[in-house]
Amino acid sequence: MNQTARIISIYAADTSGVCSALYEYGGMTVIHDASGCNSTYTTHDEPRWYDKKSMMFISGLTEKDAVMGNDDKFSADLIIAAKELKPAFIALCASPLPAMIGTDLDAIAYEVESETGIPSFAVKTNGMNSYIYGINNAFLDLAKRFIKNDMSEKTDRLKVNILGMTPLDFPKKEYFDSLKTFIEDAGMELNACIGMETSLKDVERLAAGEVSLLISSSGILLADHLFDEYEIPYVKGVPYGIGFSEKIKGFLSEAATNKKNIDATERFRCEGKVAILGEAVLCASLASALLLDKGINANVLETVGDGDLEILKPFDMSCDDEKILEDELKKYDIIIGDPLFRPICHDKKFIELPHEAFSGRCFTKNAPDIINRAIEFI
Amino acid sequence: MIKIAVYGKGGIGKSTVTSNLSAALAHLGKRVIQIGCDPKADSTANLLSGNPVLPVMNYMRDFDKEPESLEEISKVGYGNVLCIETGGPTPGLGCAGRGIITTFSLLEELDLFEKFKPDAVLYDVLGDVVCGGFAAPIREGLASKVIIVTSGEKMALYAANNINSAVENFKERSYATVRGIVFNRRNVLNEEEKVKEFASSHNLEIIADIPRSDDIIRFEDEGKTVIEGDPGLDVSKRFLDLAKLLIEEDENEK
Repeated sequence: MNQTARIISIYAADTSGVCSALYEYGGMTVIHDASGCNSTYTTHDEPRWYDKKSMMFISGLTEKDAVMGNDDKFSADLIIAAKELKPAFIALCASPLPAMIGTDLDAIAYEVESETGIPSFAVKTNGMNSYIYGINNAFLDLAKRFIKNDMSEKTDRLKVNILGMTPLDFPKKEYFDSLKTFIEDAGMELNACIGMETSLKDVERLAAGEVSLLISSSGILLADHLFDEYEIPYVKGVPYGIGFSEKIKGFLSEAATNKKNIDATERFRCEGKVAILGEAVLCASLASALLLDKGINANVLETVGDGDLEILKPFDMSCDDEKILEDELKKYDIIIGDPLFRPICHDKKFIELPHEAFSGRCFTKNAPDIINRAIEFI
Repeated sequence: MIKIAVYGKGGIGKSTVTSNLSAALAHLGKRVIQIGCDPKADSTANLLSGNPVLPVMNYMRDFDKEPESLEEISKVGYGNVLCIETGGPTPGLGCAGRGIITTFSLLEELDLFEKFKPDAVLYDVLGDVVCGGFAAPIREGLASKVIIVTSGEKMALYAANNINSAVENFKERSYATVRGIVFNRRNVLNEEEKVKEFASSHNLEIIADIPRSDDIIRFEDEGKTVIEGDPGLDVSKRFLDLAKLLIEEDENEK
C-alpha cells in the first residue's frame, strides 16, 4: 500500500505545529475540533506542557453544530473565554471537520475581535498538513499582527533573529541556550528568538534585527517576510559541530553586509553512503557539519514530505512514503534518524537521532545537543 | 477592483446577466474574470462561443489530482474575459458546496489574481445560499458586493428575499453587502410594481432593468452575449450602463 505508514510513525500535524509555535506568546489558541481532549496537540507533541502554562483549547465541535452551521455558539464561547482570560491574542485553527465543511474561521476571528477588541486571527490548517505548514503560518500571522517598526536600539554588535525554533525540532531548552551562546561568542547579539524562550516582545522587535538565523523549515515564511518587508536577510542552517558553526558565523556577517540570503549548507555537501533522515534544514546542516568536522559524506532523506526542499542536493531525496523509503535505505551503509525509523532499516548500522515531531517525547532525553560543539554521537 | 457575486433563483437568468456584464466590462476596456460557481458549469458558455472550459472539479475527478496551472482550468473568451467554472461532484454524490470552497482555495494557491491582475471579478453563484460553500464567494477578500437577479415572479422574489436575508446575517463578518437588484423582466402581470415594491421594502436599489429580449435568446443560440452580438442594441446598452455604473463606483471607492 502506497502512502501508508504500516511500521514507522507519522509526523505531527499542522494543528500541533500551530500550538507549538504560539505556546509562549500569551495568546489563546483554539482548535476547532470535535474532540474534548487536547492531549494530542499539547502533551504528546509538547514538552513544555509540564512546566509552562499556555491557553490551548479545543472547541468541542459536535456533529449537530457542524451540520446546522452553529458558528455562533463557537463565537460566543470564544468571547466568554476571552473576556475571562484576557489573552494577548486569539488564534483559531481548523481540524479536518471544519476544514471539510469550510467553516470561515477568518470571519469568526473578525467577529470575536470586533466584540472583544483582542487581536484575533485564523491560522490556515486542516489537520492533514505537516507540522511545518502549521508553524510557518502561525509565525507569519503572529508577526504580521505584532511586529513594530520603531523598536531599533543602537548597538555595536550585529543583532540576530533566531527563526523556526519549536520543540518539535528542538525539544530541549539547552538548544536555545547553545544558540544564544553561539551568537554571543560570535560577538553578536540575540535580538529575538521566535518559538522558544520567547514572548511577544521578541515578535515586536523582529524588525530591529539585522540578520536572521533560520534554523528549520518552519520559519521560512517568516524569514521571507522579514526579507521582503524589512530587508532583513537570513542565513539558513543550524550551527552544528565546530567547523560548520564557524562558517555560519561568517555567513551571518556576510549576509548582513550584502543584504543577501545565504544557504549555509550549499558548499559543504558531498554524496555519500550515510543517510540522514528527518527535516530538511536540520538534516542538511548535520550533513555539512559531518563533512567539515569528520570528513563524512552524507545524503539527506527528507522524510516529512514538506518544508524547504530547495536546500536538497540532486543526490538527496524527499520521501514520505514508507515503502519507497524502505527500499531507498537499502542503498546506504549507515543511517542516522529517529529511533522509530529503525524497523525499516533492517541490518544497516543505525544511529539514533530523536526527532520530537516524529516520536513525541519517547526519546527526548537521548536527543544530543550538537549546536556549536563537537559531534560525538557518531 | 470590482468584485461582484451574482445570486438569484435557479433559471432566473444569472448566467445571462453575469456573462453580459462581464462582456460589457470587457467592452469598456476592463480585464475581467468570470467564475461560475454552479455544478452545472454553464455560466461562461456564452463568452466562449459554445466551447466550454473544463471545470475545476471535473479536472480533479478526471485526473485524480489538483491542476498545477491556471491554463488547465481556464479559457479566454470574448473580450479576453478569463472564464473559470467550479463544476461539481458526480450528480447525486459528494458535496457541491465543498467543491466551491476547494476551487477557491486552489485558485488562491495558483495566484489567480496576482497573475491575471483583473479589474473586475464576477462570481455567478447557484440559485440560493443553501450552505457555507455557496456563501464562500461573499467572504472577505472575494466579492465585496452582491447583485440579486430577479423577475416579478413570486418564487424569484421569494429567493431574492432569502438571499438578502442570508447576506444580512453575515454583516458581523465583514462579508459582501447587497448592492442592488437586476430586474430581469419576464413580462408577468404587474411585474414592475411587484419588483419595485420588493426593492423598496428591503431598501434595495434596482440598478439595472433588463427587458425581455429575443435578441438575448438569438445570440445565446450562437454561443454569444448580446454585447458581442450587437453592442448597439437597447438590451446591450442596459448591460453597458450597469457596467459603467460599477466602474464609476469602483473608481470613487479608490
